[in-house]
Amino acid sequence: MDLTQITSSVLASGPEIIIILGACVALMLSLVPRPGQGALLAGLSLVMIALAAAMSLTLAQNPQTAYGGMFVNDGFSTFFKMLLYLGTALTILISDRYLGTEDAAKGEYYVLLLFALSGAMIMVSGKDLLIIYVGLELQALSIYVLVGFLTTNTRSNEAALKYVILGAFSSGLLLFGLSLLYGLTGTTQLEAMGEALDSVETSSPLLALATVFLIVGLLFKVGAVPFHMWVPDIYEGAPSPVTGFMSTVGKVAAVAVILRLLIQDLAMLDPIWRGSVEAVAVLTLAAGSFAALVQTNIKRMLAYSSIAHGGFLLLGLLAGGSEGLASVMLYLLIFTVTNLGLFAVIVLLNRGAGQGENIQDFSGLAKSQPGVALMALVFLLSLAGIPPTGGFFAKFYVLVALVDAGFVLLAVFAVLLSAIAAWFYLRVIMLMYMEQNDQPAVFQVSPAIGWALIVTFTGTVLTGVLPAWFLGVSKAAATAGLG
Amino acid sequence: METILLFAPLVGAILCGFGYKYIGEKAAMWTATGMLFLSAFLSWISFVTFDGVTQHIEVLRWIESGSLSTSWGIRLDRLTTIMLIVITTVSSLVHLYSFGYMDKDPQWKEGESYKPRFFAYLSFFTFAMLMLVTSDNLVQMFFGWEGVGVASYLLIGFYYRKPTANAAAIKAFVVNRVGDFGFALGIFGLFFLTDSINFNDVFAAAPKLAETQLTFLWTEWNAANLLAFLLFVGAMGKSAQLFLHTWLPDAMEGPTPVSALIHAATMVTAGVFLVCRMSPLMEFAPEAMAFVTVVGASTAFFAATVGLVQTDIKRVIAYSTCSQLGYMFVAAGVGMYSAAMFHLLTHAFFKALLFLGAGSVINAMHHEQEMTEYGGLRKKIPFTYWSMMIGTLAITGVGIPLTHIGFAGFLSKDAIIESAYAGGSGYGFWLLVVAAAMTSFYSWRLMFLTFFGKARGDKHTHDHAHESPITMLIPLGVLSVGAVLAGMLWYGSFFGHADQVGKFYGIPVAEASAHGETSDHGEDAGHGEPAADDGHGEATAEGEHHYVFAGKPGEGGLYFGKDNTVLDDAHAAPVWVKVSPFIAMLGGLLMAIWFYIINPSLPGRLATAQKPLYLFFKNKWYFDELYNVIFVKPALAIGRFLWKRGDGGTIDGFLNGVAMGVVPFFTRLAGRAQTGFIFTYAFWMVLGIAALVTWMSIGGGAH
Amino acid sequence: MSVFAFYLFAISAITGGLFTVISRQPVHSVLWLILAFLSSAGLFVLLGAEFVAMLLVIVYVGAVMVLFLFVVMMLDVDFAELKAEMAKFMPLALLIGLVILMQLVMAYGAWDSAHGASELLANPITTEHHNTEALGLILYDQYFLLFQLAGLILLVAMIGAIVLTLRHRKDVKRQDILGQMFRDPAEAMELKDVKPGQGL
Repeated sequence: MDLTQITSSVLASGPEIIIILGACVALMLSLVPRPGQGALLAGLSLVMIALAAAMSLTLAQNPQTAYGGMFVNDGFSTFFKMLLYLGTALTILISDRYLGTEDAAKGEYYVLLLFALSGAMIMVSGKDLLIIYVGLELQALSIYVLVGFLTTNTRSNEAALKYVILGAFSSGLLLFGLSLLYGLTGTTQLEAMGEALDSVETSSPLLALATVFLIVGLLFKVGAVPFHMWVPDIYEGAPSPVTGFMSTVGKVAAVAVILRLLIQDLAMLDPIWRGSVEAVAVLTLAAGSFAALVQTNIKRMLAYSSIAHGGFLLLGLLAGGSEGLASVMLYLLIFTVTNLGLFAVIVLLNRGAGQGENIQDFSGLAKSQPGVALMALVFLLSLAGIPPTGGFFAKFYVLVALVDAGFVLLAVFAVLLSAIAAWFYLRVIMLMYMEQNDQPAVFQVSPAIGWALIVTFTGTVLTGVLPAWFLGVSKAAATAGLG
Repeated sequence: METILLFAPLVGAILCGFGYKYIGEKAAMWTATGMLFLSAFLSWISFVTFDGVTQHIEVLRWIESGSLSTSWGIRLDRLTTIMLIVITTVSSLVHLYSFGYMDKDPQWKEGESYKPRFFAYLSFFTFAMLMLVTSDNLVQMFFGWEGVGVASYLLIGFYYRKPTANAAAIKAFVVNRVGDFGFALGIFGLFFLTDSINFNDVFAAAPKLAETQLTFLWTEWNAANLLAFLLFVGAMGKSAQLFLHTWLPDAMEGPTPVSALIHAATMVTAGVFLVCRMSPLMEFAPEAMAFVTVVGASTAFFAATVGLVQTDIKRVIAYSTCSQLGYMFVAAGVGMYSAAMFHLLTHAFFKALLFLGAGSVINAMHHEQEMTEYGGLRKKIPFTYWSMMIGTLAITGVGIPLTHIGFAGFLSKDAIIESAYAGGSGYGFWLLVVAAAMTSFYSWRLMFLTFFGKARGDKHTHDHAHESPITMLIPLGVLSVGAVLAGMLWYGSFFGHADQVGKFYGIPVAEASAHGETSDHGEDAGHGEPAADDGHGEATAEGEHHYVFAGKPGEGGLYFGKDNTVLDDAHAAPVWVKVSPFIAMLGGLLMAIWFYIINPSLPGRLATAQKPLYLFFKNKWYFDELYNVIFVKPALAIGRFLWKRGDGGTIDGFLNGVAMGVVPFFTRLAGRAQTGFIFTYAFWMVLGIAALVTWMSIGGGAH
Repeated sequence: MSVFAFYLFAISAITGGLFTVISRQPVHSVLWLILAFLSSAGLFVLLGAEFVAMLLVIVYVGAVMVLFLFVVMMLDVDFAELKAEMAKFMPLALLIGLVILMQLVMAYGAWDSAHGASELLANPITTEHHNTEALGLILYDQYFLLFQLAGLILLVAMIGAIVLTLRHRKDVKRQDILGQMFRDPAEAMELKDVKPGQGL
């Protein structure tokens, strides 16, 4: 690479650099503890994210590859980056209060959050298996630490340890798959790899083996059955905002990689994985929906719920084409706002030391906090996929894409299971609106959380009322990715 | 104007639900009520001035996804305007009524603010219901469908301090999900086959669907039949038809105005509306229609038997509603959609009247709902008594046989029974006649137990029984007028000759040959439409004009197939058929007089003598118990199984018995799997990998 | 000669790996692992990749393994019990292992590479530069981004280790250097003028 190439490459990765710089500045600032430091770092992080978002939008005007074709800025990656910014910003808004109630306020929290964001951004922009892998590790490593951030809480520690070990295991599997692909094609760059694979028979056992390990590594991140077992434990043990972060930002990045690999650049692998991923999607939907029925911890319930939502995302993947792609992207957008909105409510209910995470703690909320309860109601309805919330359209478009592609039986199955899934969201609603509580939750909505609630609530309702516009955006991004 | 009448209730709901802190409770409630009266006023205008031509009003661009593109629009035809007046009239009256009924509710402590919330829910429900009936595509309809479900859920559970109300709310929602599942499948099926969800396109494609075969669940189906069946499953859930009816009686846990509005007049009739709306599709699905008839007739019969022995005043009326909805489905099932809509309209008046009257009684009796505690209330609450009397006369179908003079129910119910006979459904006809007798019996039983005889129950309560406030009596009066006149006023439009009905619904009619024998009539009509000129000569020759429906699917409010001659056949039904419902009514009345006036000890003795049958009816044919065993318990068991299996903290003995007992080794393994240890998780992952590797290298290689 | 060396190193690497797994004493396991690393380093030398070989010896054998030894010696883990646990799963584990092994054999048995892969594989390193230089050219040019990101991962790992383990105990007295530096002598001491005779 000569100098001009390097300059343009650095420029192309500007958003990532801004975020990493932000993380480094925050790290420096966190060395000097002072009162109000949390708010300062949160504000700094938000500003950096806003700058990065602005730069991403500017760069999206002219799509380009950088670093010798390893890194790409296109409509597809920009859409996903916007989702990542949104998810991270919302997480930051709900974090300060949680760290306060849990007495765990440390500046490194925001640093790690920003590093995780940058890792996710690199995954999304990666056009080379190695870049994707390194981005994934950067993101995963930051999240490992964040999961164990409540150092005095044994649950948090245990969750972090479990996540590290299982995550390392899945990384190993992914890496094995990548190395096999490299062996088969002699390159790690996706485009070159796609060209090389065109000439390989899909019946080759080696290719099948490589595909399995590649997919397993990625399915682990999405929490698909049977690689889902870590999800409930880690979601329950992690600090609530981090759980929200993982279930949205972590998932968005993983799904982006899956879409980029399986639908775009390595689409020729399709006949190898289709049958088994169908089975995995169905199992994922079923296991998530059923197991959530009997949970008593809200975070654990949402863990299973997010497993079930992962199943829906896989259905969109199976539908394929620009329709399927767009439906998955819209699903992620709606899921991000809705889920983080609910996590904001969970943070509000937290009373420190893991108290306030039982589903029972929602009871009587409609009485003591009618506004918050109404928002929670909308979020829950959206997760259950009941109109007129965004969640309905998220599911709806996936199903439409599925039916369009001819998978009627899968669509039938998905509708059936989402009917079952409605039950456990409803239970929470019932508690909020129809149960009385002698000690109703008492809390003040801080301005930061208030903003988070407003944004997520508006997003959930807006996507439900005007889905056409949002679908248009995802579709443009999807076609950019396929083009 | 239609846009205003559609959104006025939503505005009212928002202002009332969120604004009551700023404008005060009273003002908030009046805002919501005022908005509804405005909406009702506009509805009547649009009903009266409607000229029969279907209009489409686009509100906003909405869904765009590949081949799926639709806007949020209002489809204004006769069917819509009928539903509009039903919904807005009953709803505005119920709003007014609630001022009195919800005042000082014992469920709430002093100073608690619940009334604005109640009014907001009511208004929101009305909006959702209006959205349902005005929609011009299936997805928008589904929105309204779910919206009324949510509102109904909130309102049934409104008394949230009562655990039974909570259980009933959840039950209503879950049972409805089953129906919604069918409805959603139907929508997807239609979209899959016709590539559109707009009614116009779907209707236009209906004839083609009848010739399409579809593979679903490994079997070949006729597309029109399958889709009509699936949509009807949705209708069964909302309209509480047999097998999905269990939620409706329990829904009586909600406040009485809610029962009157949602569970009698409007939401539960959405299923009937759906079947009528889809009449262009239904007409091409004879097997599905037969199914509709059978389910409707069975429900009418079943609910009537259960209604005979209930003692809770609201539950009697609830089963009565269930039964009357069965009537409507029979009418729709034999192809006489306008009769179904006729009964829907009249039923809305008299059933809302009965419910609000019952509410007035309950109010007078300090929220006592058991009829065994009533008796002799005639003198205490005369206005309520007379209005309920009118409601009872209407529901039992009192009128002068063989003329068109009578209370609302007389005309519409007879229309249905004649249609059932003419439609060739002997099963439907006889069950409906028997059900009519039972309807009469339980309705009069309700009247006699409540208003006649000696005062039973708590003496103090009886002494303090008082007439309800004026806000509750006005709605009773208005509805009474409707219950008396609605039938006679619109008989011609709904069930007159084809030209009248055609004009009313905006269906083109063609002149056809003269009214001949029933047997050859079908033939005439069969070739009458394509060559209307042919019949013209004959018709003039006989000097009598005769018309048949000649619309294309989607033209006008309803669609009648080319060989659908039920209307004429019904008019030509033998005299004994036309009189039979009247005789059944008289029989029921006389039985009730004998049982409850002349010989009040008889019911008790009969119940002891026929214990098994009595218990069978009393326990609603044991549907609840059955469903509990078949569905609820297994679902929870699966949930627990998956959970404990996967990652629970305890070792449960029952697991060892299940499936894993095959090999002792696997049993131990399953025991370990519950411990939450990390290597278990890794182990499952490896297992998954092994399975995937095998699958992909074998399955993938096959391609 | 080089063939002989290859088989020597290869066999000792495999033996080392095998005994790492099956030896009963954890300390022995670590020592066997060191043997496996050293043999691999030998294999690298045979391939002409001296730099990687040296890295392996210095970093893995010199640093990582010594650390491992310390950890193993300091931890009190009852390996016998763990082994007993493992024995329970052995049959199923063997079964799964067999399945995956069969798949691997099938896969490698039918090895086929893409066009052009063979040339790349035959000549992975250019001969005109020597080892270290070639690595540098790749790392700082072609894989510049990866190199930076790997550095970031290490930074995060370091932050994480500190965040998770560092605990500020409140009940311990610490030296507050800034506080000491900015102490004002005027306030730190107070002079008391004790009158004669009153101090008693």
